[in-house]
Amino acid sequence: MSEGDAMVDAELVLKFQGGEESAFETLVRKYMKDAYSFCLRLTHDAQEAEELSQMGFVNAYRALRGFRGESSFKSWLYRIFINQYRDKLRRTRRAEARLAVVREETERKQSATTTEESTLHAAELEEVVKTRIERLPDRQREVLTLHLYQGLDYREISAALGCTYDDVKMNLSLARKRLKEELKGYL
Amino acid sequence: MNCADVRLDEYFDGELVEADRATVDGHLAACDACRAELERSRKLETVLRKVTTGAAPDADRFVESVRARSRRPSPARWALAAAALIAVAGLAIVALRGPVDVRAELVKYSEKPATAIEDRLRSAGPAALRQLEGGMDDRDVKVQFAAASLLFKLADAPTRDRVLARFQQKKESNGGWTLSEPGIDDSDAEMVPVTVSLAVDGQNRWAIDVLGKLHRLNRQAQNKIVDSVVTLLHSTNVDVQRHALEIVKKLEIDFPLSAVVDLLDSPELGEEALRFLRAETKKDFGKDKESWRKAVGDR
Repeated sequence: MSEGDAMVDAELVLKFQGGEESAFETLVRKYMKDAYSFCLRLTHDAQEAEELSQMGFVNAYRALRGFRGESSFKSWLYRIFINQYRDKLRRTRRAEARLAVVREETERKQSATTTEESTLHAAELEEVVKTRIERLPDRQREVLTLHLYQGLDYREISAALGCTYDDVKMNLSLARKRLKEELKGYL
Repeated sequence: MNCADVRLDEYFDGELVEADRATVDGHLAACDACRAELERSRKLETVLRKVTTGAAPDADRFVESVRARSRRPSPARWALAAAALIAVAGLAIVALRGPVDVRAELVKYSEKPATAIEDRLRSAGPAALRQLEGGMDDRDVKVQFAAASLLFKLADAPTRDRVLARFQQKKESNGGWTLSEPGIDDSDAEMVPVTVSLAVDGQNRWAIDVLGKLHRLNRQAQNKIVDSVVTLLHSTNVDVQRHALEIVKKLEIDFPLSAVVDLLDSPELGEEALRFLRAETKKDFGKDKESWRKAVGDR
């Protein structure tokens, strides 16, 4: 994220805090695609992603007057989405357990076809990669998604996740190490 | 420089300052293993980037939805809803006469829950409640739900616990309870009062999950949830009020805060209601209900 971009966000936040409601709408329009794709990468469900991203903005709207700019608006916003997602995860632990069974089955089917990897179509490869990312530990998946797909740098990620720079570095490194191993047939 | 000391990931991610980059460049020029590792990182990134996401929702619709959900409904609308509920309850009490056919009332309730039916069954005493427990084994799943819902509203705490235990048992043995995937069609909205009744127990996370799903998928259900919770907040039973407040806190529903303002007088729940209002509005008027009403009305 460029500094200029962050300045624009900061100005919009100040305008909103000063009573200009339309400034928030500008921020929603600016970040809605990123927010939606981020939530979709975490949930793999279009409807849930839309719900999570919308509620993230609703919560941001409610909290923005108290935002003091200690991190960038973008990191702050992602933190809201992450918290929403984690809260949702907690609330749907049982559903997640069921999903894990499905994942195991998918994985078994995939390992059965490893000998034919070279003939996999792009869509199938995408599915394999998606499953591997999904199986990463939560923190590694969050760091990887924020970095690779949302384009946040280490500091922005640490602000979004409320962890240290070294935590980001370590989790990203672990995620890569694991994926390199698991996807070595495709590299 | 030892390979283990090379900050290859940070180098790859552009996180290093110029001097550190130069150090890594120097190492890479002389180290086949690290060059190969870097190349694998590049290939991994290429593969990972193949995972795409579908098109984003329509921007105007998205923004409109966020805008609508960011603003709470006007208190006037909720005052009208509450008045309507009170009127219905009043009529029900007037109509409450004669012997009660529990099974028939149960079937009617399973088709369309109504306060009048609850009042008729309440007036019929413990015998009717025992028959309602029998309704938990009815062949018709909707009747089972209706029985569970009514028992939660009408029975004492030990009975409610017993009903909840049986409810969980049926759900886990996959014995015909069908609320696990709500929101598929509008008929789910009819089950909302049932689920609210279960959630009011305050311990049943599953019921709260269900309410969350209904809220997400079904506008009719959303309105019914809010109506049901408003009714529960106005209950004369402080435990029911407490649990209703818990539901308000746990669910992401746009809720008429004026209903919570009414709790400020409660010796048991006044403080909790005040904390909730402070957190929601970032304002503080203590126990001054009039000021709170004005503030909430501004939202």
